[in-house]
Amino acid sequence: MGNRDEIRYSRTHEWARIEGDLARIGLSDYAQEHLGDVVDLDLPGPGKRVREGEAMGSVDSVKAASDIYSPVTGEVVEVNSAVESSPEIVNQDAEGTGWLLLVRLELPARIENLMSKAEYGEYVRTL
Amino acid sequence: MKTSALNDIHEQSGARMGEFAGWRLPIDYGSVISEVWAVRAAAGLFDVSHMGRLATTGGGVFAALQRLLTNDLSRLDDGGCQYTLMCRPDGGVIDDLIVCRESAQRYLAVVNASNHARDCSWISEHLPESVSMTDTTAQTSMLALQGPNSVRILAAAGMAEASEIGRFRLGAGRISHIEVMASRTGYTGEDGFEIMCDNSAAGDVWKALMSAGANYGLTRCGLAARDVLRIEAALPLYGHEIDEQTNPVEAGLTRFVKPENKEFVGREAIVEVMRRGARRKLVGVRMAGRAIPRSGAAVICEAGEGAVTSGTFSPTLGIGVAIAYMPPTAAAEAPVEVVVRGRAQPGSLCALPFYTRRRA
Repeated sequence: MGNRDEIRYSRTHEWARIEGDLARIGLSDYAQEHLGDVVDLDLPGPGKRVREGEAMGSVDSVKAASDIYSPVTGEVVEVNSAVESSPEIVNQDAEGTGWLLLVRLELPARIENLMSKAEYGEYVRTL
Repeated sequence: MKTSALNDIHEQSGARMGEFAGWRLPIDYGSVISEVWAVRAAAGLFDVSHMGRLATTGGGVFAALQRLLTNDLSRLDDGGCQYTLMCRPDGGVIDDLIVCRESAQRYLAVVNASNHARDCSWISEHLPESVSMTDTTAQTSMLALQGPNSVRILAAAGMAEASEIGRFRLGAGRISHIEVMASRTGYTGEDGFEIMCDNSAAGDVWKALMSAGANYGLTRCGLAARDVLRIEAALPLYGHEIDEQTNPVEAGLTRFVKPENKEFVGREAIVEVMRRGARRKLVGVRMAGRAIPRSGAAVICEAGEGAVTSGTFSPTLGIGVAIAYMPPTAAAEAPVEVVVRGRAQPGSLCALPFYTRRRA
C-alpha cells in the first residue's frame, strides 16, 4: 500500500494521493505547464464511477482541449468546486489546491502501479 | 524548418517554440492570457518574420497589381498601405495581404506564410516583363509591436517620428540608430506597428524595444496570443475564415473589393455573388460559459447549421467565442448550440468583432 501523502502519477499526467480509503486526484504540474492557461474543466459529479486509464472528463486551455484520464478506479465523492469556478487554480497549484476529485477507491492496491514522483520525473524527461 | 533571425533570443528568454507554416517561432511564454492582457492594456512584442515580404518594382507595376488585387490601389499615395485580397477568376481567395506603396514604381506586399509559395508563383505568372518581384523574406525580419503604449515605446527607443506615421501608413526611422521601416498596421485590434529590418540588425532591434518598453509594460508574446487577439478583433486568418473555396462577400470583406472602380481577376464572379447574395455569412458566436468552440465545431440554430472557423477563450470577454459561417437567414442574436467535444453547449450569435479598441 502507498503511504499517505505519497503522490503517484500516471503516464497520461494525472496524479493520485491516498487519503485512507479515498484518493485525491488531479493534473500534474507538467500537464498544467504544457496546457497553459486552463479556462474550463468538465468533471464527473459525485456518485459517478471513474475507471483507471479511462477518460473521465476534459480540460480546456486557451491552446487546446484534452481528455483527463482517471488514475484510479472508484466512485467520485467530491468535486473541487473551487477549480470548477476558478480553473486558473490548476495553473497556480496543480498538485495541491488545484486538485480535481476525491474518489472512493475500489482497488487501493493498484495505486502501486502508478509512478512515484522520482519515476515520473524520469518519465517526463524522456518526453 | 525555417528559423527566424531571433531564434536564439527567443530560446534564451524561455519561449515555448512551435511550428507554424514551416517556421519555428514562439508559441507562448507561459501564459497566453497574460500576453493578451499585456497587448490590450500596454504593449506586446511579436516575431512575425514568417510573414512573406514581396517587393514588386518597375514600370507598369501599378496596373499589374491593380489587376491582381481586389482593393483600389489608386487610393494610395507614397507610404500608403492597404488591406486587400488576391482572388482566382471564380472569386475564391488566394490570399489576403497588405500592400504598401513605397513609390509609384515600387510596392511591398506582406502575405501569409502559409500561402507564400503559391502567392509568389501566382504573382509572377501575372506580372508583365517590365515588372520584377523580389522575395525579401529570408533576408529581413519583421517584428510586431502592438498595444496602446507602442508609440511611447518607439519614442523611448529613439524613433520619436513614429507618432507621425498615420494608421495604415509606412515610414522609415531608426530604432537605437538602426534603420527600419515601420507600418502602422497589425493583427491584434490595437494600435501598433509592424517593423521590418535586415536580419543582421533584428536582434539589436528586438533588444532595444524590450529595453525601451521595460517601463511601459512591454511583454514578449507568441503566436498563440496573436491568434486570440485577432479572433477577438475578428480579423480573418487564411485557411480558417477564407480560402480558395471562399469568396470575399460571404467572408464579410466586401468593403475591400472595388468592382465599381476597376477591372481585376475574379471581378465578375464576385459581382455575381454580390447580386444574388452569399449562400452563407460570417458571424460571431458568444458562448454562455467558458466552453471553447474550436475550428470545425457544428453550430446549430433555428435557421440551420453552420460551422466554427476559429474559436478561443476570450480573455477580454471572459467567455468562449467563435467566428462561424452560418446560413444567411440566421437571426442576428439567434440562440445556438455549439457541439464542443460531442456535447451541445449553449451560446448565441452576435455581430463581429468581439472587441474594438477605444480610440484616443
